Amino acid sequence: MGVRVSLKREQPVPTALPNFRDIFEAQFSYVWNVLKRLSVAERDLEDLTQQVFLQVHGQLASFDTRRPLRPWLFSFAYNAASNYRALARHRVELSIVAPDQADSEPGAEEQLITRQELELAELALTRVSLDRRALLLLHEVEGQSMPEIAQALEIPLNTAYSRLRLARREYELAVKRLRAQRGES
Amino acid sequence: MTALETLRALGTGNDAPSESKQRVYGALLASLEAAALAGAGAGATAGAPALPKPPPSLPPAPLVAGIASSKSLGIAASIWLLGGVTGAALYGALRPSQVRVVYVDRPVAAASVSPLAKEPEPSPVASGSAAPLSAASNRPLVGHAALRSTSSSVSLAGSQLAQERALLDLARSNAAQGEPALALQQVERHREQFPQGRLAEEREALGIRALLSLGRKQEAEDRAQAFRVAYPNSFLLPVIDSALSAP
Repeated sequence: MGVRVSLKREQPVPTALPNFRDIFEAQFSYVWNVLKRLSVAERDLEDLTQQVFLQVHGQLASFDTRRPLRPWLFSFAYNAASNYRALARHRVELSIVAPDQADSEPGAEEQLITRQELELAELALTRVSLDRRALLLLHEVEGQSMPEIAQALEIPLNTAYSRLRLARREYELAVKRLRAQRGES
Repeated sequence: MTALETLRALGTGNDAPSESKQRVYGALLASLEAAALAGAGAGATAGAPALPKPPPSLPPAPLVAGIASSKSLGIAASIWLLGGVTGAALYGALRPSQVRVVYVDRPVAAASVSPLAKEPEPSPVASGSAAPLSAASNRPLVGHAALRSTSSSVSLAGSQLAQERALLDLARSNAAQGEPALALQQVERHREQFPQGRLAEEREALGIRALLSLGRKQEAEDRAQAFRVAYPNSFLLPVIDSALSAP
């Protein structure tokens, strides 16, 4: 009996369905930045964020509370950004999200280098195709698990791994090219 | 540090602009209200068009419909015939365009088109000052009630929501342009016209921020206290608290 109890505890426990307002309040910046990193132009961010939250509101009842919220939100943002970029007039837009402020306070020189590196990383991200960039954002930046990502993006797990591998390569190549353009080694 | 390590250090980004957050929330509220109204309309009128959208501000369709109606064609034919009998050849050769203008448009427009054609949707862009907007905001509702006996409460509610939104958009625009006094004026106008309006929550939040911008902190705090009681779970509370605590 004790064993059964122990096994039950390892199962994800469903929690209460989150309140839409709470989600909006807590995740607005997250959705905003995801859209930005998926190359939605600054001027269209409000419209698309609204669109995403409208869909979230409509689908909230079907959200599986055993799953993490952010990959689920990401899937809405990803679909919205994909549709948005399908319009030819939006394809040339590039957005760069300001990296998080560092927690510690390094010296001025170190801070400058770090900031430059982070900005370069943001720029290199924009050079990666959208479907692969989604993998980089979810896995490398946010640390989501691959099965969770595959489920959120509705792709087979093997496809997700393959896409991540290609995404890393594409990203590293972009970094190398950007460094070369800047005259770095 | 490798490229991938740098990528992992990016984080999910900084906070989005709070003004954008508030704007998106306001737009969301309005969209959800409109969707709720559309749903109510569909349930109330089975088989009828389900979307009680506010009428468009530019109504070219009634004019076309008027020209095409049999009544106007009849009038046109009569005048045309009369003109032919009484010397159409000479008159038509001299002033053909004036004859066409007179016989078609005027009677039809006066008889059946104007009630719909005169129904404007209040627009923050079109209204440069507060007074015209206020005047326009009441008239269409009264006109609807009198002229369209079959108009549903859903249509009226949708129209009212559009008016509320227009007032608050104007207030927000005034606030953004550094005119808190004007913003407060719009807020008070909204309070007078729609004391229990659907956007009352947003109105109160705008009013508090306008009062703070005007340096009327005590009034802002009093209103904030009332706001907390009325909307204890409001998403706008953090915005209000943050505005109140700002130096």
